[in-house]
Amino acid sequence: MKRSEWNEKQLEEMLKQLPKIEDHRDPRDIYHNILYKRKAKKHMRWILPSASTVSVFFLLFLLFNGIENGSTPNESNKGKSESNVLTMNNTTTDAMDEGHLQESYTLKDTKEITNKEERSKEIKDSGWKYLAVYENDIKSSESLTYAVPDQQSE
Amino acid sequence: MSSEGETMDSFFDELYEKYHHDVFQFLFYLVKNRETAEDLVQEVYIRVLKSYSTFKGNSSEKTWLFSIARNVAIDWFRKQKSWKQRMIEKFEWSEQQISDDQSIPEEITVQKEEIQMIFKCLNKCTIDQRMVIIMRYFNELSISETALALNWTESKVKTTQHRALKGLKENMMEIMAEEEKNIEKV
Repeated sequence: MKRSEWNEKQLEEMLKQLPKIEDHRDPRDIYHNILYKRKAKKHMRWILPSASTVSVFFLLFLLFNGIENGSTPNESNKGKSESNVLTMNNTTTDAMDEGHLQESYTLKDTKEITNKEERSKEIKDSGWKYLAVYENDIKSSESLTYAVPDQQSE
Repeated sequence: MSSEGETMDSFFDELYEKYHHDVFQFLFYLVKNRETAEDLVQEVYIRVLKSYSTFKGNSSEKTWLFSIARNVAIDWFRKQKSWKQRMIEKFEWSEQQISDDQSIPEEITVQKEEIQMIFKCLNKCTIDQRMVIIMRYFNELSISETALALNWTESKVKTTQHRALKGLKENMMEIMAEEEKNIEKV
């Protein structure tokens, strides 16, 4: 077959024979479509930055709100942990008499009570004046060391 | 505002008059789909009207327009590719269907068998090769005009054109050979 011997010239001729494809739309319609799309694009250009600005303000609002609300519980948390440290000191420091130890046990038991306000009340009610032992206080008395294993420690 | 609208209006009319069919032709043979070509040609106008104030006449209007059309088409192919890949990942079995589902427009089906075949073989060229062939043979741009429109050197246009023709020829030979085999079997 001759067809298997195409050369470049023939191919070029064939390519040129490919039919012209016409756009049958009315140019006015095309122009209106373009204007419409341009407008739509402009809208999009305006919407995106403003949406992001609004969301930034919203996030900032949330953040500052959170800080203001969060300040109260944070402080009470701090107080709680301080009193915890104090009781721990009590139970483990040297030179503690039996009675004090007993009291510190009851104090430890109160750990179960989750309500912190109740807890702090209880500490006050227990009539403790000192929550820590200093060298001066125990100068005259004999000191004994007890090991108190803490079940909750790791 | 209205004066801007009027200048845009007349600018559009001028472009439409001079180049619309060339650009449409280029986009159609590149994407092989009428609806897509219609959408893309609108996108070309949108980009042209957006930047016509910055057009300095360094290149001719024609090559400038074609270079925008080329960018629009390349963007479309990129989007298409990622969309296609996503779909293929989802329904791997339909891969064959997607590639076979390219309808041939009426204008082509009424042509000679050879012409239909060359139209199908164009699919197998790379996008670069297809662009060169369309610009050179359908739009009848010169080598230097094609180089300007594609932002290539003239020698790159020449080699791409040469390879495209070679590839086309090989593809057509293959199809021929297959057809002959089928005829022999019958």
